[in-house]
Amino acid sequence: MKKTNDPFAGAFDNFENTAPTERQKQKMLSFVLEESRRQESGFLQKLGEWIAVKPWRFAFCASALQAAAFTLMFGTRYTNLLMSIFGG
Amino acid sequence: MREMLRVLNRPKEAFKSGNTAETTILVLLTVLVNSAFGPLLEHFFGKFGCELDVLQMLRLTALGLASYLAICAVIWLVCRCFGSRASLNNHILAWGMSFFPTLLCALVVAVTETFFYVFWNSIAWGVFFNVLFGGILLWKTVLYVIYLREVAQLRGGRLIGAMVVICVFIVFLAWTNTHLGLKSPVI
Repeated sequence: MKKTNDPFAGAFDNFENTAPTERQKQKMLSFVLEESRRQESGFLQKLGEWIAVKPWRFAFCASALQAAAFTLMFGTRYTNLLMSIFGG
Repeated sequence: MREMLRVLNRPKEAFKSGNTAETTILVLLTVLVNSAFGPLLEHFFGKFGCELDVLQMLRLTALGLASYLAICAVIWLVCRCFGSRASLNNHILAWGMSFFPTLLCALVVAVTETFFYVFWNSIAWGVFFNVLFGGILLWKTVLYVIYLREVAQLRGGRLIGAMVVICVFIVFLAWTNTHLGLKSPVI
């Protein structure tokens, strides 16, 4: 049999010999699925990540909203109530 | 300084590192604001100018430190019951990193206690402190959840169960703290 010295042919031969096994294919598939699931994460997960980085940012934003809303509704009765509970 | 900023802005990573220096600084500052800064502010600027009691200050410092150890022990015990493998030492080193809002709360309480007559019935000051107190409470709650996930490694039902049980102890410890003279609970 004539032996070829073409490096490309040799490389393709190697490819065929080292094709992934069924177990490796399964592993790759589960990895790809896991990654895609992570990238398709919903709004809630993104919000969770946003809150986890700089949690004070979320806390004071939410607190400012509640303070504005309830003070508009109840005035000093609400602010005094919170001051008496937390402020001594 | 960089480590402190990490505690402030990336608590998830900071909790995992369990750095002693940040925990010590934050806990000690919180205790000292409670035991020394508050009484000093009251003595020099308070309406009634109460006397300084050094023994009481030392007692409050010891109580504050004991309260920190107590909350760590409670968290460790409850988390262990819910399947966490973190040791008591892990909790003592890491929980202090959630003390930024606690420290801020101690400072704000010391100021509002002393200058209460200025802030009472004022809508502008009222809204300002309302935002501060609400923000501190939310901030601490978020850190509490991150802590249980990252340090205690609890998820799903176990996380919620541990949160609820620890909350009961937190309310009890907060009541005990204020009853013993710590105006802002060291928990």
